Amino acid sequence: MNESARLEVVGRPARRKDARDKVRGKAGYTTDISLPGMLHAKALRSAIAHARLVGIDASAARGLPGVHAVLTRDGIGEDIAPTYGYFIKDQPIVALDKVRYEGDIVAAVAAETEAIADAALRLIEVEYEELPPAASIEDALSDGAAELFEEAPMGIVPAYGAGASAELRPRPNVCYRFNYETGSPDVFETCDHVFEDTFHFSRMQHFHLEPFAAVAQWLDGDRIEVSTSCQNPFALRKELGRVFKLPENNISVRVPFVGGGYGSKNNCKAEPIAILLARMTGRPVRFALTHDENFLTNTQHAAILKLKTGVMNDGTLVARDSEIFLDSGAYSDASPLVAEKAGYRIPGPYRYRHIRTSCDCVMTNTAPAGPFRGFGGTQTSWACESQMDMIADRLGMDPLEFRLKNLIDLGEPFVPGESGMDSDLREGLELVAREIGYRKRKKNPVPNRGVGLALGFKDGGGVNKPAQARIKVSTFGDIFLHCGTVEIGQGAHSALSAVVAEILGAPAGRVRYMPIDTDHTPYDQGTNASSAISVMGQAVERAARSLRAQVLDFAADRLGAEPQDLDLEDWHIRKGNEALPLAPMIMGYFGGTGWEFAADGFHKAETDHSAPLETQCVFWELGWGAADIEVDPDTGLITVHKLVVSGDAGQAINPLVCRGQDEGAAVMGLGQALFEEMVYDGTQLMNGNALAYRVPMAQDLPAEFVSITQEQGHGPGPFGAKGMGEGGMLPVAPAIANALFDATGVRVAALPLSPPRVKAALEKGF
Amino acid sequence: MSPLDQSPNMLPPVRQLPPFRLFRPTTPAEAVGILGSEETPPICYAGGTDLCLSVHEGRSVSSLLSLNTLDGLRGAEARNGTLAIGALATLDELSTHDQVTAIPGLAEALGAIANVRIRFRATIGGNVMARRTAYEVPILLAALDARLVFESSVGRRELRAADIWTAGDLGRSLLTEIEIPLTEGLALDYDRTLRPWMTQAAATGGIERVAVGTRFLRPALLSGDPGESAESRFSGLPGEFNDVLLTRGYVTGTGAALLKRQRARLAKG
Amino acid sequence: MSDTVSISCSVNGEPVAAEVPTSTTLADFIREACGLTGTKIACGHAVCGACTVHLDGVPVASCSAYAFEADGSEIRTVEGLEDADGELDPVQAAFADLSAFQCGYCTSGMIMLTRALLDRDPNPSGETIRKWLNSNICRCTGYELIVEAVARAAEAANAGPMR
Repeated sequence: MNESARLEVVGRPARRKDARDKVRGKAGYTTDISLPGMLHAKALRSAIAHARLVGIDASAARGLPGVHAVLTRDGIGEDIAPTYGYFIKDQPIVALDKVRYEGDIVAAVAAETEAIADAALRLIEVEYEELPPAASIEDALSDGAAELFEEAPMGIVPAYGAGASAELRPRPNVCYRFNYETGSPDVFETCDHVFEDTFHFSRMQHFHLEPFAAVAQWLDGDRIEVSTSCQNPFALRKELGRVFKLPENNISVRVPFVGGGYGSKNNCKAEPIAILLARMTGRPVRFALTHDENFLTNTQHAAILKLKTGVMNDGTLVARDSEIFLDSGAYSDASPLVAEKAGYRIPGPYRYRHIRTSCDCVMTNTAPAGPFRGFGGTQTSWACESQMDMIADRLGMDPLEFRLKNLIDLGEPFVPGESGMDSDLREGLELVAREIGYRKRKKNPVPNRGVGLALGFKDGGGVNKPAQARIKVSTFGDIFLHCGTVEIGQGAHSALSAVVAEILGAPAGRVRYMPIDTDHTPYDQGTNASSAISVMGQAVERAARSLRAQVLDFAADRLGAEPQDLDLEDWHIRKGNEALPLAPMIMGYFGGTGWEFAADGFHKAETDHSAPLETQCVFWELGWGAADIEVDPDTGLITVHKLVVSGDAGQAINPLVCRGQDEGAAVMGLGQALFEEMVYDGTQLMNGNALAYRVPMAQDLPAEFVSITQEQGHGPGPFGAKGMGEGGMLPVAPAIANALFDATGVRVAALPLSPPRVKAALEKGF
Repeated sequence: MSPLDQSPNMLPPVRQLPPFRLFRPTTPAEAVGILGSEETPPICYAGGTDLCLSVHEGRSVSSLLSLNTLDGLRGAEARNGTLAIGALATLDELSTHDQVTAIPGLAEALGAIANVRIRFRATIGGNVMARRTAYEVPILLAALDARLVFESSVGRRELRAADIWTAGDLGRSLLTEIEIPLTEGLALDYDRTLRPWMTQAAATGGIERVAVGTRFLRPALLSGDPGESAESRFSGLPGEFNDVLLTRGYVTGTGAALLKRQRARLAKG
Repeated sequence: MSDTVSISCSVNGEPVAAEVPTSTTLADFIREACGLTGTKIACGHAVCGACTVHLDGVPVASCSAYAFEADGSEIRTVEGLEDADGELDPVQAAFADLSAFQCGYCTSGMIMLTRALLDRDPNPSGETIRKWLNSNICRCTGYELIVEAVARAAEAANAGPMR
């Protein structure tokens, strides 16, 4: 009997474990924490995009009653490494020598109340010596552009495998370049056609409703306790250890529920300032940014993508050469990692004989860009899937047939040395094409109405990502699940608990997901890259299977039976028709105080030099999309009549939650496609608050919105599961742009597809 | 985020103000008296939606005049050839008000602005007095050639709604009423399909008035003979009507196209 | 004139009397003076609605209202929906059953908004549901499951209590 046929917990649309708390307002977030004696922090920011910091006078602010500390560069001594970052340590806790964007933090105040902190900020005088700014990728790369960093900050390049490489600061204002190459470029000469096209990608803000927040204490002179809205507590702990020069066992990072992140809540954000102010004051400090400040803290990467693609007359793809420029903003943050992924993913899930890519992280005097749902894959899916339709048109082929001809097969490696494709790409594409009525559409063309397809693609599960889980079960069968995956909305705590319950034969309600505290929780690299079920899921599965084996071995010993003749069922041992409670057996052996069974599980993809990124990809995350749209030629307004998105969950642990992930991602993609954008006038952000920045609302939903969760069963996770949550975003913008072309014959290669942009393109006529 | 005036520094939004002096008058006359007599006139507060935004932006509030306890200034009534709307009437109240529905298109337009939750609280007067380009009531009122009636300790003052942007400091005045002239055949069409890039109100009844709103620009009012072509109506758009989201060329072409549709809808009634 | 204002109101049916600074927002009053942290503060501009509570039955963005306005009023928050036995309100139950939430930060506000809708219109059309939900922002779900949860809550309420 196949395993999924007898699943009891997995695969059911059960209530999530956090449901009751969240619908009752009882779920605790960092912003809800209040400690005795807690002070409140606020930060002063630069209104100048690029300047040398000449001097700061905070004496009046320090003198204000109720103010306990003012942090400026003068308060940062030798005992602190004053900058942080992922690969490149370039972002200061507060401005040191320069400010580099409108919103760069120059000082922070801790006071009795937020109101006093606000008043104190007004008393701080800052003298700047203004420098010319670089507002955009083009600006920053132009001759004679002002340099954000005159000298290269400290940074590292990780080990890469076959064909991949990277360099720090290959040219001024570029902090990192990722390169990848496979096959010989000579094949370009054999191509019947070589097409070169350039695409522009706009920049969104994550718009998580819970702002960045941290509550920190500095205890006993050398110990940090910080509760934070953070999605990678262990990486944060390591970075805090480096910055504050403390051993990691003196730093406890705790993560309650997180009110959304979509990528932004990785690494240092509110924490260093909260911690430093706590050290300066000896009091707990709460540093909760306002929602407006989200816009000044982390954003998606705007991008320019130049694709050169070689193809034969019959539609066979041969070669792709691409150059990508990411607008990284003022500090590197996760830009090098995003560059790695964008550079790696730009071919899309198609077969080529030669691939060459480079991806540059371009520093500009705007807010730092970082991880964002899709992580470079949104940018590359936009360019790749737009160009697929453009090439099909030039060859006189149907875009669907052109894709079907070139897609990688199930099991075929993405590139040499990589893992095999773990979804049937054609099956998914045919599914969404059928749902949108793609093959039927050509018979009755309606003016200005069209249909488009796209296939979003990314590698999932992170690179070289270790995860560890621990399960304990008490005498009476109460299950403790300890692991570091943060509940950021995706339902991971419920899904991982369901895996444990399934394997231990327990009702889901018996499992408690224990609070995350780096002092006790087993190591995890971070809640990102759709890795919860695909990577941590494997660690949890192993822990559960190991624990189950321990229990059955124990019972077999007690009962004089063979473990394979026993089964575990709601903390009873099933032996034939008998169900024997475990508790008396446990107390009979371990004594009346009982015992805890405990087991660990670990997972990491093997290090592999033949794989370009040093480990093979854990799983491939796809988003198939189709759109039926109509454009109003008088206004340029696009109406999406029907949007279809589909992801492959492998095996859905909870189908409702999978659906919510795909739909949420797709609607974020819809916003990106049609209107959502951080608007800069030079270096000035014009719409940096919720009133001015438009995100999708309920009335923006298409008249028909269909999401289909495929369960193809090929995933590496428990019961065949794959990761979810990013794929649904990837195909939406290119599917709509392709539908616009289908409707009008006009190609728009920049986002968003706003009425003014679309109308201008329609008037230009190509 | 608000750059302090002339300052190179940017302050975070203020979530928590220091305590302010709070006035809670019960009659409009009492409110006008307070506005006239205090050394610094208190800031008027009604639905709260906009004041809290201003506070976030760094507006300091040393004293506040709550209008919520006032008797009157609500509802709407037709008198002397005008529709007089109380400044404290909420958008929700007006969107179903008998007298408002008497002007075709107006109740519908007021019931489309913002959202259900905001319309319960937001007052028509607050939407105007905020003087924010992204707010929509001023666009409607400009097209309707409405007058704003202010009371102050020096007397009554009227202002064309379209002039609210250039009226200077109104801190000692209380907006009490909005008067819409009930001209023969008055009807309104408000097109929000292109929000947030632009919205457009067109009113008939004598001369045709078209008000174009955008996110960053003060609404433009274009008036003239209803017989003129839609294109020529837009030839009157100010030359500098551009912002980072749209060009003057887009607004003229698109505005004219919308106007043709609006005329057709208005003619259909 | 005093820097503080005395407020006497009812919160989820319980009488509350407090003396707070005049500038206290309704959200801070609920979260700090009353200790009810289910009401979340997110955008701070009355745009997202995460802070939605009922003030005399009207859904209000509590981040953009002052506590003094609640004097003499009835406040209802998400904590006041379940009954004394902890039985969830049909709106809460529908959101829980359909997983019409993810990160949960908008959820209290969405539930209070929905409660206000169903208090006025126990049988809302799909169009009415979408129009009302257009008041609040959810960045996680894409709204579809929330729309379904509202419809299900209406059905459940109309079907009467299950017990």
